[in-house]
This record gives sequence, structure tokens and C-alpha cells, in this order.
Amino acid sequence: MLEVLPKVAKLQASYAVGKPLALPMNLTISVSYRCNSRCKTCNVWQRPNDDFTIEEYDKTFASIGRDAYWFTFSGGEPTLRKDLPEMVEAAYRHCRPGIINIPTNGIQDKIIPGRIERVLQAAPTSEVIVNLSLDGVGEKHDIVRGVKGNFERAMRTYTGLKALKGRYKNFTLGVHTVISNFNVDEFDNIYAFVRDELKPDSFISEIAEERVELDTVGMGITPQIQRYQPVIEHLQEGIRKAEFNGVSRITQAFRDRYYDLVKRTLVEKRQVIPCLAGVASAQIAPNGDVWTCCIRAESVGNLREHNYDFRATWNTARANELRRSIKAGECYCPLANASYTNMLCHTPTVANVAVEVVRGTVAAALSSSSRGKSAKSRNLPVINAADEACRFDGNSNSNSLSLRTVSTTTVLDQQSD
Amino acid sequence: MTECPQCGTMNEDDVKNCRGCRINMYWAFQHYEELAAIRKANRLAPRPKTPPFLVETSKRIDEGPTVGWLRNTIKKFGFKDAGKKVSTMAE
Repeated sequence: MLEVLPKVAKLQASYAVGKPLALPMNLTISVSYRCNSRCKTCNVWQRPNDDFTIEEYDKTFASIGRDAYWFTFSGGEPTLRKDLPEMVEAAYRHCRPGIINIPTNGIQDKIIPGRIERVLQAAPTSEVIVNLSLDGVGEKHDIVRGVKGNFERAMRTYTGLKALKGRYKNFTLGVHTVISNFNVDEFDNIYAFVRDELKPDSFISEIAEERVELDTVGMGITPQIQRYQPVIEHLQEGIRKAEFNGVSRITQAFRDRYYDLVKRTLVEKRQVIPCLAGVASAQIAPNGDVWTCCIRAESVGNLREHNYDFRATWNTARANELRRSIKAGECYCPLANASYTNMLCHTPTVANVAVEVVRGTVAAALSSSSRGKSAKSRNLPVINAADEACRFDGNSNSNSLSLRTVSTTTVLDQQSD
Repeated sequence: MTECPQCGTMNEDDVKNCRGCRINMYWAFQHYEELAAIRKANRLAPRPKTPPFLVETSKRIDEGPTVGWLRNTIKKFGFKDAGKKVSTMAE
């Protein structure tokens, strides 16, 4: 993970001058708009298909080289493409990404585990994260996703994927929930089910957004802050109380910060930290259009028209105009994928996370040693100790925690909608 | 002409998005009523305040088309009844 730090400096410089001095480190590859879900929060399946072939991906990834660290293969439903493992293999051969992230609806329970196993074999030194979508428990999931029997199939897929964990050390199995007006009141149940029953390696939630890519503009699916804040803070409380080690401690600290960013974005309706979409992150649409992000989904150029040369497509005048617009704050959103990259490129956020991780580690070590060796294996909520102490001594509003200060009263007093 | 369930704008019969509020018309005929009820129960305005940059971007770059089989289904059965023909829910 540390290998991204020199890239971050280049990307920060790119943002400052408004021109790319390096290629993005976070790439989302939307491999097809085809989807066998009919979610109430998405219309992407209505888009016509003009998908890249594996040969086209191979040429594109060759042009990107080792600059990108984090690849997301999304859709539509990415596992509907039989050649998904070959795509990942091409990305691995040319780009050697540190992280490969694949969301799935889990509907094709007989096919997905096998296809993911081939993905894991194709990228043996990358961390492969597969996130199963879960927007409700039982029939409620089926209703939000528009497919009867989806929950049952998703659970079978989850079992199949979990069986791979013993064989592949590079595999992280996660669960992903989109919080919308259709399920915000159910979120506590979903969280409890995931935490107590599924016990995945990671659980992430994303707020339902209006995006040009998904054709959800004007739909009003985003929950208001008054309904979102209590449920997300319950999740944040869980993160802070849980015990994490090593990289997971860092990941969870960023995740906690991300949820704070979402709350602030809902209330303040602006870029809370600078957005480096178009600099540090990018998306490739199924037909080869290159976007700065999926929220605006505005093409900076098409790879087919630039001989599959990502760098040439990324350096167009249109791309520079979009970078200017984003930097000027002409848009804002809580998009998770871009937000994590933005946080990584935002020095105060990285410093805050570092302080918290060190504090948590020290607190855990002290607590562990005071309990004796036998206590080390116990699952006790020690990560929160330093945080709690900080709150009691009145330092919670200090600079080091500035991103955490979303006052409950302030937020609840405002209408987001 | 078809009236948008959300904002009342009159649109061409096979339009993808409402000319007024940009809502996806197929989605609106399937789900708007439910969402409006949720919004009403939460004492929110029936119509969301979508950020202007999104509405403008959507108008500028998202004129369609819709996947052929859905467009044909909508033409044949209309927005409301098309939902029954394309649903992936088992009968």
C-alpha cells in the first residue's frame, strides 16, 4: 500500500497545475451495462450495449501500464461477462494493480464462485475484494432489487465465495449496502444481520445517489440527513468499537472518515475536501468512453478513437475543461470510489487517520499487556479507548479530528431536501 | 403525449427522460408513487431538489437511447404496463 505515496505527490501536483503529470491511481472499468437486477435505485440496465472486447481491454491496459493501483470492475453486473477472468488477467499482466475490486448481485449462484476463483488465479499477488450487494434481509432485499429469490441466491453465492477463502490468501469477501429512501429504515437490521450472521471481512455502505451514469437524476432516492445520520452513526460506532489489526485498522479509519464526509456533503452541498476525480480517479464506460467520474459521466474522449491509448484520451482539451470545472467546485457528491482516493490525496485527512491509527494501536497494546498474554485473543473493543478518552478531556474538536466534528444538533437542524 | 408522474410535464410518448425534471420515465411509472408516499410520510416535498449541475449535465449528455427491447416494450404496452413485461420477478 505504501507504494501509492509517491503517486499521491504527483497527483497532488497534477491537481495544483490542472494538468495530468501522472495517470490516475484509481480506475473503474464498467465492463457492461447488462444487469439481471432491476433495482429501484438504478436504471443502468436500460442503456444499450456496445461493450469492449477482451482484445480492446488488452490494448487499453497495455497503454496504462503500472500507474494504476486500484481497479474496480463494475457494471451492470460484471460477472455476467464470461470473460471477466480474462479481463482481470490482462489488467494484472499489464498493470499489476494492488487492489482489484468487484461488486456482484450474487444472482448467478451456480456461476459466480467459479468465475471469481478464476479471477483469483489470474491475479495472484493483487488483493481481490468481492463485494456482495445486500440492500435488505430476506424478501425486503428482493423487493429493493426487483428480483424474486435474489436474497436466497445471494446467500448461496456468499457461501460459495466464503469457501474460496481458505484457498486464496489474496481474497477479501465483503458485503455492500446501498442506503436509499427505500431501505434506510431497514439499515440497522441489515447491519445486524451482516455483523452477526454473515461476518464478512468487510462491510461497506454507500448512500444512493443521483448519477448520470445510472440515469437516476431527478429521482429523489437519496435519504435526507435526518434519516441517514442515525443509522450511519450506529455503523460508525460499531467500527470504532471493533478490534482491527494492521491494514484493517487503517482501512476502517478511512471508512469512518468517509461516512463523516457523506454527512457533511449532504448538509453543506459542496466539496468538503478537494475532489481529484479527473486527476487521481477515472472511469472507463463499456463502450470505451473515458469519464472523470460516474456522477457526471461526461466523456473526455473515447479509447476507440485514440487507438486504445489511455494517456492520449486522458490528455484532451475536454479533459482539462472538466478538471477545471471539478476544481472550481461546480459539482459535489459523496461518491465512495472517488472519495477514498480524495482522502488519500488530502494530507490533513491522511495525517488524522495516521494519528488515530497510532493511538488505537498504542491503546490496544497497552490494554493487551495489562490483560496478560491470554487476553490477546479475546475480541474486546479496545480501539475506541483513546477516542473516548479524547472526548472526555475535551479535545474532540481539535484540529486532528476536524473531519469528525459533524455536530448532531447542527446537522439535524438543517433540511437537506 | 405522456404526463410525467413527478412534475406533470407533457412528454413525447417514447421519451427516455422527462423534459422537465429529468426523471427516467420508465422508472417513474414503476416506482414514483411508492417513493412519493415515502417522502410524504417523512414530511418532505414530493419532488426532490436535485443539484442543478446534475440536471444540466443530464440534459446535455444523456439523450438516450434506451436498449432496443425495452423501447419496443414501452411502445407496445406503454410506460406503466411495460413494467409487467420486463420484470425479472417470477410470477
